[in-house]
Amino acid sequence: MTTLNKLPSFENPPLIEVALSVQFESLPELQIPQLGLLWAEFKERFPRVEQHTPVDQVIERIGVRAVPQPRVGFKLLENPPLPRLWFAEDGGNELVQVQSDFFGRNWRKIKELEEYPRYEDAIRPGFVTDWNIFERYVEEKGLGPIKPNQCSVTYVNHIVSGDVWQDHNELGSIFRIWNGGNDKRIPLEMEDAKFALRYVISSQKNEFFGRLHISVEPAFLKQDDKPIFVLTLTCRGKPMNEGLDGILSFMDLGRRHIVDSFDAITTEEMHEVWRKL
Amino acid sequence: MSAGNLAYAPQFGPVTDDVSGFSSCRLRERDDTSVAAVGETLTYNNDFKWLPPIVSRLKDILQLNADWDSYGAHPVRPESAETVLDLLYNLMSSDTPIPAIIPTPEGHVQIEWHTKGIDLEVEIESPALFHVSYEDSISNNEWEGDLQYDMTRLATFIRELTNR
Amino acid sequence: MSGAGYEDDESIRDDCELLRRVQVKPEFTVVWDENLGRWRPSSAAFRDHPNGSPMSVVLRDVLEEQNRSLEEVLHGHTGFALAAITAGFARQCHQKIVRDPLPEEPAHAHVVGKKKKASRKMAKQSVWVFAPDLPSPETNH
Repeated sequence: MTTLNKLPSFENPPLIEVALSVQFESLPELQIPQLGLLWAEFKERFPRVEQHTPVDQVIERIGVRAVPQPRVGFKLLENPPLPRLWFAEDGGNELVQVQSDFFGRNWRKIKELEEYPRYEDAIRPGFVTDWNIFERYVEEKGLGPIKPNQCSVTYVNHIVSGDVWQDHNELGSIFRIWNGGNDKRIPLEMEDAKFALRYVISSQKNEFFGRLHISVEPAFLKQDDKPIFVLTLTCRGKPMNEGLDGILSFMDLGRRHIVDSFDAITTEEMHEVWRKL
Repeated sequence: MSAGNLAYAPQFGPVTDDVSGFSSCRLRERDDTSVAAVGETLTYNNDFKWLPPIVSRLKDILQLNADWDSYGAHPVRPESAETVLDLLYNLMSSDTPIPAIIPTPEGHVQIEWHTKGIDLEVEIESPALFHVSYEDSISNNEWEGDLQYDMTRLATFIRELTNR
Repeated sequence: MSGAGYEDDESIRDDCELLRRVQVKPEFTVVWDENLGRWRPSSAAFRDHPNGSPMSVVLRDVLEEQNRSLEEVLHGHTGFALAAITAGFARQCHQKIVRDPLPEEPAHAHVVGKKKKASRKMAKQSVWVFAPDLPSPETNH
């Protein structure tokens, strides 16, 4: 296991969701009945089941030219697509997501004063426990083998307006890397902005592993319409080697890049609000 | 949007919208006309003239039953077909010759070009494993091997094919 | 399929044609080869069985010894053409030719060996015994 300490740390980070997920080659035998039986393995902790649209396979590649959105999706329409199932705690923070080519484990902040349970203490061990259950089920039922081709770590933050900033045109108060927008040469007042960044993750030997995606988008809280920014950081890439060890190695690295980047792109003023340690 | 000379804007792929467990906020309203305009442009965009025949071909080969080749072939796996489109989106340009799309007995899909002195075959064994063979009878270059996530070499081959 | 455990049958002459069915209507495993200026089988038409057993062919020599017609190879297979490579060429591609007569096909044989490179060479070298009736496509570049 990689060293997980010595990362920037905050007492009150604006984190509202963490998702750890694995994408693998489709298991054609993992159909609705098998997914239903799988739920039995999780039912005691996750008594609630929901159906959602499946997520598409996404693979980070290098050396290709990306194309603009929108793009034509291609799905086999002769059979209805299998849903993505959520196994969720009743009103709780945690959930497991499963479809025939994807497994995810989420923590969500439900109540205002809830504390983030920490990657090392809860998020990572929770993923390991539930991935092992899933993997064991697939093996016992002869549905596999599971061949992971991507893993991802996602941190979603809600940066709420307050003392440091009040309007969506004040990105410079939140993000160190934002240095413009209210240029006096444009005789208009900027209303808001959003931006996205991508970084390549490679080994020391220059082997491509994946990418860090950072996106910032203006939004409003539903409960009181307060302006917020949604800051999403996702590391996605190939497992570093075989098995759960390879998945966790990438996730640990991804989480490190996410935390370092969060610290690097946000301002000292916001660090004070979030009580950086 | 004219073909060929424009640089494509980067695609910022799906992030948490797909894997998020909930949404407690609403995004600022976007101007959806810009999205519609891009979509409309796409329909008439010469850069994607390869798309309709490829989609039609993929639909045909996905209909194949087991033993379609009389030698016990497997039906084509849908994810192989989806990966064809994903790959071609990222590698084709308006001047790239349209490839042949061939089902294999293993249920994979093979993309083939045999033109301009080049034989290039890409067998999609899974969304993250391609077997590539390149033979150029004019330059006498050849290469064969597996590619997973780094498509640089394949992009070079297709560029050669496109520009010759 | 590496060929271990199989012996090449030297009684099969180098000039014996190995016959292989190719799905052509719809044109699933034929390609227009602009470099050669003709339709030919894709390399996908010269692969081993997906269950791992070697590529199946019919030995033309045996058909002729048994006074059987070439058309018999296509009986019950509508939409197929018939391609051939010589045993000698297959051997040049590091393949072994092994007789494997079956009740339903006494002229059956296996072509044993690694297929990645060999299938491409055999596909390009193959000739039509019964050619597909396909028009030349327009050049698309």
